[in-house]
Amino acid sequence: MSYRSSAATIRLILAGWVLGQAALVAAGEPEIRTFVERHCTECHGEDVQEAGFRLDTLQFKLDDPDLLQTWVKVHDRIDRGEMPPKEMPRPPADEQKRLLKVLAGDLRKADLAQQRDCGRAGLRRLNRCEYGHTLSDLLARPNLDFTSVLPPDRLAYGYDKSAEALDFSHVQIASYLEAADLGLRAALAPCREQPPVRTLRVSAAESGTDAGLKLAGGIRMIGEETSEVGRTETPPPEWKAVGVLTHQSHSIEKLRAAYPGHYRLRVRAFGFERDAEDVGRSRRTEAVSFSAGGRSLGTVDIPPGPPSTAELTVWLEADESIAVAAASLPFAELPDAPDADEAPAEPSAPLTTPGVAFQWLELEGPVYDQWPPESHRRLFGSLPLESIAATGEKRPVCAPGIDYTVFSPNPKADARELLRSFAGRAWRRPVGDADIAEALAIAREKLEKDEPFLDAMIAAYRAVLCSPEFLLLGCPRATGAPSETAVNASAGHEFLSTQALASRLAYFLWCSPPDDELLARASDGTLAEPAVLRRQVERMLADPRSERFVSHFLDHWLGLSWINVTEPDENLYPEFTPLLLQACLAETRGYFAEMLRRNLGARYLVDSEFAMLNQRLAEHYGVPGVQGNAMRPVKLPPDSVRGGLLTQASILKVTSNGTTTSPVARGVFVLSTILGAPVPPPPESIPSVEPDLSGTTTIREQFAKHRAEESCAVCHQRIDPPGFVLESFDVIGGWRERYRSLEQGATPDALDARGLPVSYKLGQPVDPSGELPDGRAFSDIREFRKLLLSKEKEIAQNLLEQLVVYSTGAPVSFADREVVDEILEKTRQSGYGTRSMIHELVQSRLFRKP
Amino acid sequence: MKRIQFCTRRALSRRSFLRGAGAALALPLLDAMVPAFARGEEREPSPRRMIAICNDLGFMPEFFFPEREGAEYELSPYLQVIGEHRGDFTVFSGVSHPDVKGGHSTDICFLTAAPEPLKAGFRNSISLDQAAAESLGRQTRFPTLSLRVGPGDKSLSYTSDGARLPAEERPSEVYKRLFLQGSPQEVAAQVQRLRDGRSLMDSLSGRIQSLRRQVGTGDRERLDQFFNSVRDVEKRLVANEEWEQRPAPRVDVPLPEDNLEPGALIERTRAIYDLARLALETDSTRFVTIIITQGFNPRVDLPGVTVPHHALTHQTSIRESREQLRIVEEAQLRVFGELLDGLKHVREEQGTLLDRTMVLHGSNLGHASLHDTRNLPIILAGGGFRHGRHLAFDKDDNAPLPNLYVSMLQRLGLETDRFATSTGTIDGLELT
Repeated sequence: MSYRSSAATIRLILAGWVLGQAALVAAGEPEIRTFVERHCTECHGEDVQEAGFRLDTLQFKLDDPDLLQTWVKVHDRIDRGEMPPKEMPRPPADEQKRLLKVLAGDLRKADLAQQRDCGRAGLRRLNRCEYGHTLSDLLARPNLDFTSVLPPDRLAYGYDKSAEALDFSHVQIASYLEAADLGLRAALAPCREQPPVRTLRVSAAESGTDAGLKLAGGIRMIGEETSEVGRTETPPPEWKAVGVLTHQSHSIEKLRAAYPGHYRLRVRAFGFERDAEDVGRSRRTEAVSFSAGGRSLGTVDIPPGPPSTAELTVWLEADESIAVAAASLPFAELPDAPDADEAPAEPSAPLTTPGVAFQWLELEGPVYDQWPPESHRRLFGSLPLESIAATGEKRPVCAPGIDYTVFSPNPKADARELLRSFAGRAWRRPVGDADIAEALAIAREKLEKDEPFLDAMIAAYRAVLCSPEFLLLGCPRATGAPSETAVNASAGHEFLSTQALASRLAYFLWCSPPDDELLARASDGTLAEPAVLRRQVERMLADPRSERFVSHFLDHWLGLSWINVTEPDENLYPEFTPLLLQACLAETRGYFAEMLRRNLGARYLVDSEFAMLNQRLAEHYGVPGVQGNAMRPVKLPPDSVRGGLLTQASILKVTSNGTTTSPVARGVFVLSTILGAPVPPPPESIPSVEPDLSGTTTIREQFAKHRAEESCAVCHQRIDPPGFVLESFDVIGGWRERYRSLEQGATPDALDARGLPVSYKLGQPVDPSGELPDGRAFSDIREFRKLLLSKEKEIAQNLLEQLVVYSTGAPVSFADREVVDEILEKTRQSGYGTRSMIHELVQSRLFRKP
Repeated sequence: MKRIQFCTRRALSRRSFLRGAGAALALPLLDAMVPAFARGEEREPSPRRMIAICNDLGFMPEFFFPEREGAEYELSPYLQVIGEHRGDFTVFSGVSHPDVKGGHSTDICFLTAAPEPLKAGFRNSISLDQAAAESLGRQTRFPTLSLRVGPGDKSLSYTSDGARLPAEERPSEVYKRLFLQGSPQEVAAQVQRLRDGRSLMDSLSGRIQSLRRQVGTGDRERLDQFFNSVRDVEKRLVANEEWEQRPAPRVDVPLPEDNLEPGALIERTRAIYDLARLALETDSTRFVTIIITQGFNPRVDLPGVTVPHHALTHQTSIRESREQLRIVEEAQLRVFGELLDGLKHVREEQGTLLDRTMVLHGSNLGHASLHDTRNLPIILAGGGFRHGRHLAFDKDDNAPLPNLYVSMLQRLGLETDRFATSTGTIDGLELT
């Protein structure tokens, strides 16, 4: 650090300190003390300390973060009229008003001073999700997954975005070493010569041969007579197919990737229906899903009618094979049928059951648009790949199994150039020779020991990827002279440098590093201009990478990452299938993305005239006329029970367990997650009420007891109404008028996941009606949603506060409140449009402070 | 009329398949197994070890705690389940962590005893296993082993900086880590990587230090944590290099199949317990933590149980639910009994593995239905204490559980008289 800049830093720190002192001296402490003595100390003083809280001796040292927080609480409780409590005499209105003003002024000043001295959010490391996307983007290598390498992150304020939660341990550091190796190895070209494109095919027509299509439990459909639909004496050739009747996934070993890369996956299939007598063509669109290595590759539609071909481009790792499932079929498995050799018995399923018949599947690839692939070039530019035998070099240790080495005519110079360019991308800013000196030394040491160039470079890249500049966001320079544009997120700086701002934006909206365009705007300094910033946000939201923001944000805000933790009871909810789960998530993500796209306002979080649906979800919701697996906006009928987040199956599922719904869990969700009005945890030693599954008592009867207790009623009059009204939806978000029970009730006419009559009963009726604490009554979800609209501003404010934490890592503090109010005021005209709120947030000082 | 032939065959359900495979772990004990380094070397007295287990939904107190105290106590219904081990454990009542409040979220404090986990700015402190490993962990391939039964990311282990150390849920992964060894080439490559890693850590420390001078106080703390972690890795890499060149212990147990079915609480617990025992038996580690987390509320797959586990704990006022919950909790204790049994059947120089292993079994909740974190259900088995008693402390004014942790650390040979909020050692617990 040069003398000049350290002097500057010292001046700034001094200034901060003096201002901090000033805040203290200028305190309205005497006035506050007088008020406290007059109105508070009777219960919070020397003799009595209600709730163990004593105010007369509470120091007014607001530069202590803990004391500041405590005084903020004092301010808020007086401000909300909670203190002094109702049974005590009120302070005169003007006295209280003056007190609040003085106190707020001091709190604000102290908070701002603290933000100036320590930063508002501070340095933090990348979280696991960001790490994966960052490495993936940096190396241009798809499908890098670090979930089994990096430890899961803790959460703070609900998100994995805060310095407090993102700590370091030896495990964390050791995992970074491993993750860097994993990513770098995956980026290397898998072999010296570009592998030829091959087409692998399995076909029903080739049954009995090696290329035959075999699906466990599949039906060989070489029938000689068909159904009413297309009945012919001699079957058309396309009826040669293997039919399946369940959504089970089938692994097809023959369709296996030899190399990592993009592949084209094609399927030819048709849907059919069968009943006890006949088989005919399906009248609905079926969905076929593909997966590999346990991850979903995508889903295609098989429309009704003659066989059709569908294609997907997918990324496969070496040696992964394809699994296929007729995902839209309702049954998980079917009761044993007699062997093919025996005389066909009557199928046990009495109803028409849909099926999907596969004719053939094809895998073509790997398809590379250049060789070596882009990911390799990111590390080694266009240096030639030489066979190990030809160069006589040692075999690279870092990537056992590859058949080449990278040839550099001038290793030391190349090493420097390659490292400079890689580090610039990795560290999200321009780098000089001094910045990469250490990494270069690592490479040189290996080169001097005659180790292969490839090994030397990988070791150096590993150093780049383990360095604080890569791992920390908002990181100042470690070495080298500070330049005018140097990133310095630390003490004394009012605003982030444009470089750090670019990173914050990129990790907010893309979960990944800034691209060239953003870096260019950061370098020329224009990013700080409001119009440029606005254009960049627009551009970034239009980029597909913004889907990462949508899913990562919703995963935490709404708890969607937990959706798969409980499996709905298969006896109670046989209609739950993997495709439905997929659709639930896609709905909520698609809905929020649509809100962003159209700048829809906060009211859309609780009420809407449209829903994002695909065929499976539309079936689940009973909305007719939606075909195909793609999510699209669908206008809802005016009397629909659906609309907004609360009636989406994903939300209803994450707020229940696999068997029962809990009005408490859902009520608390609505209050804290949607309205931003959290409820305190139940007092210790109060048992909570959970539904009784035997079907004998309703949840409301059990709750009546609960609410009779005064200590419970305080919170439960707020929790219960939203909880009760959502009782109209079961654990997988289906509409219900009666509870399903495993013991008592009427037997419904439906089939379970095995095609047998369901084993659940229809028990007690649901009573969704209720009354809000302010006395307004509702009879069902439709009326409730309308009542919620009166809370539009609270809903908007809550969403904004969530976005503040998500984008900056720090929650809204006392001094931040005025900014939140300003943003709300500015976006009121647009009905608190989601996109408008993001723009205003990004332009505000909350986003732009370190 | 001719028909199209259907031949549907029922696939083997994943659950039944996994159930079959899970049994493979419950194998007879391997008497011949000698800790890797003991072979041919001077035999020292077998080391002292520890397993700490936390069940995050607790146990119904009325079935757990015995009435009378002392050596003459009568086994409570739950303790009857492990009654055959009566002489090998002590049951505690009236103990808890001072100022640890916060219902379900207190599992993070079970082994740390860090007060006020819900308070803003809370930072956890070192967990019992890590504290033990700080001075004793270098003697085994793995200083500690953190395991979990159940999904999610909970763990009982925390560093002295309060950072959570991840726990492994998949038995197969634990097994691979403990017992699989690469080919000579792979080992050589791994040793090279560890050496590279060390020099990298060295340059990284310098980088962080130079950054540290440029940031404010809040950020400095974070960088210190970063720095300490890097130094820690550096030390561990040295140890790892030595271990890498010695053969991994061999066991006659096949690679376990992972059964992650939500309902298979008991099978999953058994698989993890078996691995914990194997890890100690082979002296791969001496300190194991196990969090058993059921907060995600699966229905436990046991006859007679129809309501999800977490829900059951909240409706114990209903007789039927109480009975269902009792089925679950007794099964949990039964599998704990199997663990004790397994440890007892491993013979060592001075007796059994159980004699040298302290097994702490408990919960962060004293009364799950009330989210009460006082009066925790604690059992300490094995480890060379005079057991067979019920040590009863004041139900209204609990004794600090960290006092027991101090006793345990001392038993491991550490000269320490403090752990978190301890006030001494626990009264009445005597050595054999």
